[in-house]
Amino acid sequence: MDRKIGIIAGIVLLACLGSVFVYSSIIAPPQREVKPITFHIDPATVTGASSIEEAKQMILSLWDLPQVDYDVRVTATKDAQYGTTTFKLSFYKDGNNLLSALVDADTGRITSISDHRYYGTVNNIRSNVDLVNIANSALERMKVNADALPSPRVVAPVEGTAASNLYSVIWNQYYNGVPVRNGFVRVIVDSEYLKPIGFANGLRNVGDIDVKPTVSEAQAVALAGEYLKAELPASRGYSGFKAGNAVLYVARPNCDPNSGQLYVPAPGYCLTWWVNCVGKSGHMVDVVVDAHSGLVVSIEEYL
Amino acid sequence: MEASYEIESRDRPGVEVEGRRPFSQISLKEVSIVFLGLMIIVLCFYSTSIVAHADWKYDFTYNSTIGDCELSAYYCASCLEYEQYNSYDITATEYADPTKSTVTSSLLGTSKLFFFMGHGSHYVLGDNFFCAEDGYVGSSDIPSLTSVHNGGGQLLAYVAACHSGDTSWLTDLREAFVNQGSGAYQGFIESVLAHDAYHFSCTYFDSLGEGNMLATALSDALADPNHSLDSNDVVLVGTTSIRVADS
Repeated sequence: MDRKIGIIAGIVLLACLGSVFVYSSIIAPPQREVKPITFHIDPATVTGASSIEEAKQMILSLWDLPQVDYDVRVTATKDAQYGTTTFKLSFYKDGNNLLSALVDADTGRITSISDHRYYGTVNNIRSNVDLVNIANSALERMKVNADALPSPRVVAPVEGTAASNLYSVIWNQYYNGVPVRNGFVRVIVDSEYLKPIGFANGLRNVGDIDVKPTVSEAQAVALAGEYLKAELPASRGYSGFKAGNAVLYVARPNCDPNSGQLYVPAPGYCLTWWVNCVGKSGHMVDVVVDAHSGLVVSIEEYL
Repeated sequence: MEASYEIESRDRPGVEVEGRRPFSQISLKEVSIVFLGLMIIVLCFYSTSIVAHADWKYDFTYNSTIGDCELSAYYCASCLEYEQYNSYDITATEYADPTKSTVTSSLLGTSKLFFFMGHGSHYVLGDNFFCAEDGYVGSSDIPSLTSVHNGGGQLLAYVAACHSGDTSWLTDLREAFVNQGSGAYQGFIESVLAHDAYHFSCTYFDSLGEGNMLATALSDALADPNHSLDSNDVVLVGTTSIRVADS
């Protein structure tokens, strides 16, 4: 009798183990191995220049939002690559999300506003001057000094899409005459209500950089071409690429050209030549060459 | 097989009781039946738990050769994986380097939300496409999307690839997806840097995970300060009031 009990117990155990094995190896999706560089964190654990309540009051005082009771939902995100922590505050009234804002937890600066109250379909824009005036008023409200920025450019939307009512007015950032890659202030204007509905403050704290390149554009193009012929880039599929023109930027390198992995954390800003290279299939990459050392410091891939 | 034994009852001594026998006399055949039964019960338990967690199939695919794509798929899936749609759970799954047949046969037509981030382009005179591991997925490859897993049509196709939202060709992906039954389609009009698409996508899906409409998520993503994409770089067509997660 004891022998049979043992056999049955063993069989039941094997059945359970077998089922778990079948489930985990065949049915269940594989476990993730990716280490994210951007991830959500508990807002209550964030300590910075601005508390959530201060951020909320700052948004209410700067943006044209009525002073009523809102259900403010807060999340926080950490970006390990750029070392930033950002609060996202969403202002709800009667279950409707009226406005979302991003606040840099370290500096207390509002980096983004997305106002959901206005979403038109009619185009009442008469001229770009009107657009720039509307955008300028938003910059004043958000305490961004437009005088320190060069003239803005206006981007018209594509007709027939969901964003066809959204015009963008963009001030690109320059550092001692050199454009800063992804450095800008953007105001998005709704074409029907003629109101600013979006604000993005992407002005970068560049630091102290010598903006006189010691590597010429031609040298940078040649260096990029040589780099793409090397064994390592070829092994990663960068074969048959031709280096084209180069543009000088103050930029933060994103992707380590030696490993193909993203820099975490990213190095600081430096003066760089962005050499656009096109493969035989039309696939593009920008090879980023340090304009002082001549080293390839990043590979920026296009999709 | 005889299953009748004479066993003395405690209550009524000497009465024959059918069906009761010593445990030691159970045959191996019966043990096998019990074993199979247990296997079925255990498998049923797991199957039920799988079905219970697979109410809506949200699929996130990407080219693994570009670091931003994998991270983007991971982050965007994480925004929705613990959410619900229509009061049922969302199962968000990532797939690296899917083959063309996986995309067109296993994912499209079953996914409630289809996400792709990777390379894309267009033919000289033809339509645009995005790159699966072993071939291009173009407008003619899109199957019917009107009856996906667990019912209804596909809510959103989000294709983050160069020229995925190109509107200047005779036939294109955006038309194909919407015509085949996707509620909406989002793509990029021209060449887009992977890092820009990464930040745009993260903000977009963060907003969708809060239960916002597609149009609201688009506004949030356009106001993100970490990319240089503007309203003329992106295309969102279809029903923009769709939500892909409950608020």
